[in-house]
This record gives sequence, C-alpha cells and structure tokens, in this order.
Amino acid sequence: MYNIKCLIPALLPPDEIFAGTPTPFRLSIRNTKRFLPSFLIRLEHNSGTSLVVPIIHRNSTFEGNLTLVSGKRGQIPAGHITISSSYPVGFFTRYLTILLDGGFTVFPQLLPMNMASCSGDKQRTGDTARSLRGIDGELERIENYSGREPQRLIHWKLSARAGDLLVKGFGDRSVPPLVIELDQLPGQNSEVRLSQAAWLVKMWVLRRPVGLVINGRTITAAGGRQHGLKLLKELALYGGD
Amino acid sequence: MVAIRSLALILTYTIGMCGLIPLFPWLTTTPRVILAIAFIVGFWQDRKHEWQFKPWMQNCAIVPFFLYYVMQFSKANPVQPFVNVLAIMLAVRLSGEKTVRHSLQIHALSLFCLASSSLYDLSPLFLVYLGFLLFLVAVALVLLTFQSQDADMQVSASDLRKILTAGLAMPLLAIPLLLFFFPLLPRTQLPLWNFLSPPAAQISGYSDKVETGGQAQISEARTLIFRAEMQKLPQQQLYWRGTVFNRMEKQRWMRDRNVPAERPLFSGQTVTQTIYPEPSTSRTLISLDRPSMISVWRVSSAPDGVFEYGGSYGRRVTVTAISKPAGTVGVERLINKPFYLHLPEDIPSRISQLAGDIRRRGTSDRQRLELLETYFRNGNFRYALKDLPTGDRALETFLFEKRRGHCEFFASSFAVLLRGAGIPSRLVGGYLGGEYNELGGYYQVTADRAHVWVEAYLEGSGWHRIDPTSFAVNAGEVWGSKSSRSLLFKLRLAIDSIDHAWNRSVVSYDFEQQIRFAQNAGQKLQQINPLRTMRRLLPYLALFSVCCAMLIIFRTTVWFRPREERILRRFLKRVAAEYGMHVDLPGLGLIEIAKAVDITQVHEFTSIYATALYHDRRLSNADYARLIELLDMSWESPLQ
Repeated sequence: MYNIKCLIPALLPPDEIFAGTPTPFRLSIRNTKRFLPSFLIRLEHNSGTSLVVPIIHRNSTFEGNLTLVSGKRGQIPAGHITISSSYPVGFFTRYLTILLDGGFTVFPQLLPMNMASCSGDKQRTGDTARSLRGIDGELERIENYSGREPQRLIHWKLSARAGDLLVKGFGDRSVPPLVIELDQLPGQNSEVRLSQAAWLVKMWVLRRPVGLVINGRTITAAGGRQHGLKLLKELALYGGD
Repeated sequence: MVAIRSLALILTYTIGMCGLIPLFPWLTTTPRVILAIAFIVGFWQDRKHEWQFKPWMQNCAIVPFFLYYVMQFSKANPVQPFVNVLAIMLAVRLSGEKTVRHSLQIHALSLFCLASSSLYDLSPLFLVYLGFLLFLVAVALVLLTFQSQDADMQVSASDLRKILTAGLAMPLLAIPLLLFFFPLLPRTQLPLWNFLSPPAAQISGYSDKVETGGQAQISEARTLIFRAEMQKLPQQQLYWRGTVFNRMEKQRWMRDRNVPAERPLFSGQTVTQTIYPEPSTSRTLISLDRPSMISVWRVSSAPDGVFEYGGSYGRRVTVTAISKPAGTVGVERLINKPFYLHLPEDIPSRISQLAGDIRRRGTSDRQRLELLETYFRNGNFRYALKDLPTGDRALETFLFEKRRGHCEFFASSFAVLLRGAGIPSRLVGGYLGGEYNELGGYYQVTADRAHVWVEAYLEGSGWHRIDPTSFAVNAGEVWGSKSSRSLLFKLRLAIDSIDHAWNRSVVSYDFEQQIRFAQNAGQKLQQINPLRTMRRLLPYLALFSVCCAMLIIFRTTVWFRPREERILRRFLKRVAAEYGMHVDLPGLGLIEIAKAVDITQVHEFTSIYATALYHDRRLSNADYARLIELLDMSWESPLQ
C-alpha cells in the first residue's frame, strides 16, 4: 500500500483541445516520499486511457503523455486519476483514486466548410490573382506613370534608363477582416455551425483578422493566436450556463 | 536499456536448474532425457522467438506420462513415480513459450522438485538451494509483475538496479521472521516428512552376530554412524556400547534375547551425552559404555545394558544417555553363571585344553583372567584385516597358528577361553573411539570404528571390560595412529559440524525438542532477577533513550530542516513582526503576501522563492545567498 501513497498526480492540458480529436495531455506524477521510490505505478484516467510508470524515484516527478478524447465541447472537469499498483503478477491490486482539481475548455469539433457558401466571396487561397493595389504592401510590379500615382512612387533610376516615367506598383497589405456570423453559417444545427465557426477561426486567425457575431454580441475582428483562443473559447462555451 | 522479458527469462531458466539439479541424480533415465531435450528445445525457441509447440499440445503430452507413472505408484514405491511426473511437467513447461503464467508454473514446479529431492536426501545443501531458489523467485516475481503490465517494457540499468534491490529486500526482510517462527510453529510427534521417504539403507558397523572365519578380508567404510555431543574424554574410555552377544553356538556368537536378570550397581564418573544416530534399520541404541539411563521416546532396556528403540526405524532421533565409562560395573546379588559359562560341545580340543590349563593354574577368577591376558600379550598376536583365518576351525587357527585377526577373533577367542576357564563372560558389540569435533563439541563415529570387546564377571567386583584386541603386538600402531590434523581434515570436520547443526536444529526438530525449547525458555524466564536485569539493561536503555531523543530533536528542530524551510520561516517571522501578518506554512500564499506588503525586497524574495517552488527544485546557492541578503537588509516600500 505504501507504494501508491504520497503520489500526487497532475494533468496538464495543451492550449487547444478540440472535441472528438485525440489530444496528448501531459500527465505528471510526483513522488513525495523521502526515502522510497514507487514501483510499477499504473495511472488511469476516468476516460479509460492509462499509463504505466516503471519507477518514480523518491522526491521526484515523472512526466508522461496521456491521450484523451473528449466527446463534447464546453468546460469539462479534469476528472479523476486512479493510481494502482499490482503485486505479484496481478494477484493483488491496490489502488487510490484522486480527484483532479479544475478542468479544461474543450473547443467544438473542427468541421471544414466551403468559404464561398457563406460569404459569396470567391476569393480563396491560390484561386485568383490579387488585384488590390496599395502603398504599404510588397513591391509587385513596375508600370507606366499614368499621372494619377503619387510622385514618390516614381522609380527614378528605371525611368532614367527607360526614358519614360515608370512607377512602382505596391500590393495592399491590409486584408479585409473575416467576421463570422454564427447564425449565418449553413450548418443544420447550432453544433454544426459552431464546428464550422471553429474551423474558420482555426483556419484564418493567423492570416487575417477574424471577428465573431455570437448571441447578438460582436467580437471585434483581430488576428493572432491569443485572439483565436478567445474566439474558440466563446464558441466552446456557447449555450452553456 | 534492459528488456524486462529477457531478464525474467534468464531467471526462469536459472530457477528451473535450481529446482532440478538436486533432484536430477534421483530421477530415472526417461525424465532425465526429457529434461535435457526440453532445456535445449526451450532455449532454442526462446532465442528464435518462435514456439512450435502450443500450450494445448504440451498439456496433452503430459497425459500419457502421468497415466504411466500413476500405474507405477504403489505403497512400496510412492516417491519415484511422483518425482518423475513432477520433473516431466517441468520439462514440458520449459520447452514452450514462457508467458507470465507459464513462468509462474515453472517457478512452482521447480520449488516442488527441490522439495521432493529432500525426500531422498535432506542435507544442508538443500537449504542452500532453497535459499537461492527463494531469492530468485522473489526477484523473478517482481520482474514478471512488470512484464504482466507491459510485455515489452524496458528500463534503464540504474532503474533496474533499484527494482532488483527491492525484489531482494523482500526475502531478506522475511528471514528474521522465518527464524522467529521456525521454533514456534506446531510440530508433530513424528516428522511428517518421513511419511513418504523410504527407510534408510542398512548402515551398521557391526552385525547382529559375531562369526569368525566367514571372510578372509574385511573392508572399512567411513560411513557416519552417529554423533555424540559430550565432553572430550580420553580415547581409552571411548567404548560405545551397542549390543551384547551372550550365547555361542558353533563358531558363532549371538544374542539370546532371554537375558538373565541382574541389577547393575553404577559408580564412578558420570558422562552425559546427546546422541544423534544416523537413520538405519537397526533398533539398537548406542551410547558410551556403560549406559545407566537412556531417555528417548519408546525405549526398552535389557539387564545387560542393551537399549533398543521401539519406534519406527529409519528416522532421525535424538537420544540422551547417562553413562559410567569406568569400565567396571558392580552387580547386586549374583548373576546367572551357567548362562554366561555355556559353551557349545564342539569346541576344538586344543582350545579346551588351553582353557583347562588356565583354570588349573589360577587359584581365583581374577588370577585366571590375568593368566589369560598374559597368554594373549605374550602370544605374538597381530591385529590384521587381511589374510584372516577362515573355515570351521578359524578360531583354533587364529589362536595357535596364524595368530592374526581382527577384533572379533580376539574377543571371541578370549571369551571362549574365559568361559572354558570358568569365568562368566560375554561379548559386547559397539564402536571404539571417534573423532572429536571441537567446533561442534561432539564425537563423530564412523562404521570403520566398529569393535567387539569382552566383559568378564568377577565375583565381588562385577563385570569388567576387557579389550583383548589391545593385547595385539601391533595394537599401538592401530590405536595410536591418529588421523592427521591437516587442513583438509579440519575442513571435513567443519563441514560435518554444519551438517550436524542442520540435522540437530532442522531435521530432527520435532515436538519433543519444541517442548524442551519451551521449558528451557520458561526456566530462563523464571531465573530472571528483575533488579539485576534492569541494572544490566540500563546502559542499553539509556542509549536507546538518547537515540530516541536525538531523533525527536532532529525531526522537530528547525535547524535540521531543509534550508528552504528555514529561510521561509525566517521570512514569515519578519513579515509577522513588521506587518502583523500571521501565515501558517501549509496554507501559504507568497504572492498574496508580497501584494499585501508591497515592499521591493519582499517582491524579490517571493519571486525567487516561488520560481524555485513552482519549478519543483531546491534553491541554488546563489538564490539562497540573495534571499539571505534580502532578509538582512532593511525593507523599503517601492513608493518611497
């Protein structure tokens, strides 16, 4: 019995957990015994997945991966871990069940969708050439001066060589934001729409500003990983108390 | 990295060997051959990781052997079929795949094989094998538990060392308990282990009759007959009495069981012995001549000092005897003289003439005895084991022609002449001498020390022990020659003392000894004087108390705590003193304290401390030095 005592498990979730997707969790177990190691410890999460640790040295922590799958989105409790040790050869198994603190947010299952079907915007990556012009993007072309371009765009060096005025043509760096209106998505029910929205967020948030209209509330479009997590969390907790 | 499965496999083979090696010499040829093949086949398959024989095939293969040996089983031969079946079962398991289940079966069968080998020979070597096997099984059980959880588990060498240490620690911790429980566990009057074991073979240095002229040469076997725990005595007193031959027919001396009644009067030095006879088919109990009392369960005694054991023979017994080794035993009232003077009618005339001559020349029995002794001393008789007189006239040839023979010739002819001269006499069969084992404090007597001597009755003083063989001209060479005390000899004695300790404390440890053990313990407890004992124990108690006190101080004093805890206590003490915040250690919220106090040094302190705490590591020396520095300086608010 002493073998399984003084063991403290902790389940560390990754940043993104999507429903229905096997996700590797970090499972750490600390042996707080001062003198004795713990041998052959089996750690089993209430979802059924388990991990066998041959030895946890005294006053040290073992870390391993535990792949968990959550069937539904939302705020899920961390559950409990059963620590068991069997000796000899499965004759006697002693176990302790430890309730894990806190929980984690499970985002909706990712459901790919056709962008065209929701916004009418035919533009998809690689489908058409970019036609937008700007002054803060990449240098995309050299063209003749039409008289409308600002003078600072004139490429004096090339103009001198060509004997005609040539201007630098820049692309437009700003991309129009994608605002996802949950109710406008084509899914048959809210869960499907949430899954589609989650896919859109995951797909675009690192490339263009993404906003969300949910429950009559608008979340301003922005880019970046943190914003993406915020949107996914909104989607995960949609409809919850 | 080491694969647990490979190590468990090696251990399983070793365990199999450990169980089979002691049993192998006792097996018949068929199981031996099967075992050898099974080992090779099993090893080859394990190396290749391909197993041709499925478990059901193996189980079916055992059935015909089982049936065959069941038919061989009989009351006369209960053990051999049993051990053969055991060995074949083990062989079959060894030949197949070693799953966790099969490995456990191999361990159990090996243990049974080793145990069954003790039905043939329960020597101290058995204990060595048993100890080794139990240690191996304990370690293998640990490894198999790992294998049962994950068949392909691999561990690092350092982890494996720890696992093996834990596996070995379990049987090691069990040893003191084993020693504690061994004398206490209930015993039967008869050791049950002997139930199946066949009776021991005939081991006896002397026979139940003395017949001269049967063989021209006799061989000497150094088979152990008994051991006797006692004080060391002069070699000339070491006559071990077995049986008495009181009747002569033709050339043969034998024992007439209708021994005439006589009441011996013992006097002189008393020697107490504890005798451990080796199992034999003889019921005669041997003790130092002459025994006045022998205590053992179901003993019967005859008036001539012969004791017989009434229990089943072939098992180990412990005999306590009290003897008077003086060599003379008085007799209350008279003995049955005609019984001890009887001679067969066909005594050769030359012997009768010699006896008659001695009778005429002597005026008393004592003088006649002296005359006969003188005749033997001056007769140039030689002690010999080869070229002995044979045939019907062997005694006559010995006395008047060859004048060479062994103790039976000397004793037999001497007793015949005594009876012919009118002195009552009898032959005593037993052993002479013995090797004293200083280490164990006992004599060990082997079969080659078998001896026959004479007891002559002299009116007024009783039975006198006379050893006619000592009158041989070469007696000094025979009896005087001591075994060389070489290193090998000492080693042999040391091994024998281990063997004796084993027999004494394990094999023959039965209910009687258990009772004796309890009685001794009880007596010792009664003898304890509380005051004196307390006085003797006082230093130990004082030492124990000091150790306990030191342990308590060590556990409670802050200075023996880790430095992390010490510095934290110091920090909290200062916070409590300066800001009135009392925080218990377990419910500690360092960051909250820092926020509440809002002092630069406190922030820094908590930040360094929390970094170490949350990363689950101890403070580095630099961190520790900085924390001390922070505690030593005066604290200022960041706003000031």
